[in-house]
Amino acid sequence: MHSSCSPRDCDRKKYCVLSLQTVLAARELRWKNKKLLAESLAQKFPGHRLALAFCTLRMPASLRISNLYNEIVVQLRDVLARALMDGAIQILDYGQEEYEDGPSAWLASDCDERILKRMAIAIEEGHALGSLVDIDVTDAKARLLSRRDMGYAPRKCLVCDDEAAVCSAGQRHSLSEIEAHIEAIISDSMGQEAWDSYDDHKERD
Amino acid sequence: MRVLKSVTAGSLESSDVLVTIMPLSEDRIEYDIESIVIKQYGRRIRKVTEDMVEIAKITGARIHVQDRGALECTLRARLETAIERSIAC
Repeated sequence: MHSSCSPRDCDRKKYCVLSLQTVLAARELRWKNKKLLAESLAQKFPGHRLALAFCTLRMPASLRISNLYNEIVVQLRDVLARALMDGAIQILDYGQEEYEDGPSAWLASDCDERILKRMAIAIEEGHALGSLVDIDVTDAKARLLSRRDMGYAPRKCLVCDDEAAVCSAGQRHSLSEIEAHIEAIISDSMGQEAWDSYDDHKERD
Repeated sequence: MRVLKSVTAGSLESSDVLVTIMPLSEDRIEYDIESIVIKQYGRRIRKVTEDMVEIAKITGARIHVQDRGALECTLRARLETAIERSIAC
């Protein structure tokens, strides 16, 4: 248990390195920043249909802040950027940030947010490292699109085949088990071509 | 204690929960609980939410919980923050 956590936080002890307060404050800050970013981009690029994508690490906080995987968020954001360019969709802006609970990379494109969401899902599902990131997509008002609303199945757990949200909400797997699976995904990705193009993946959805 | 203003705490990121509290003109509490894991943890989420609202003794509010697979400690922390914000002058 982290020294600054109260005893009631102890159900988090499995993964605990950062205090719960730190992680929660970072999430809330990122959430607010998304809204501010969307507002400022809407002013900067009037007349464009804004859609935003935010790439973060999909693993427990202690691994997100380990600095071992920071380049993955930028790499996968750039895969999304390439898919947009291949589709002749304009990228209006992009950037990356470091929060107390891990790295984040984003881009803003000039397209229907559902198109961007479909591309993001294709990367999450089809890229060799896609299971290690969340690519959240919002519209110009920073409203999040959900897989469910788009008719897609929920994401699978990194470790087993169950629904990811069920495993993480119930803390079903140990940190070492998750870490071993992440390392296996990364070493597998090295032996193959990680990603060819969006066109080769979109038909599979 | 009466809820004075509309507030939120949390986010809709994976493993988080967004709690929104809105004042009602009547002295009752309305709950609206959504979760992507409602089948597995819905009853627990409702119980934790109702218990915390009861302990805080707030009234005249609509409590909207949008859960994205948060741990129970996360849900408790978000509810606590939202309640504090809703009754702060």
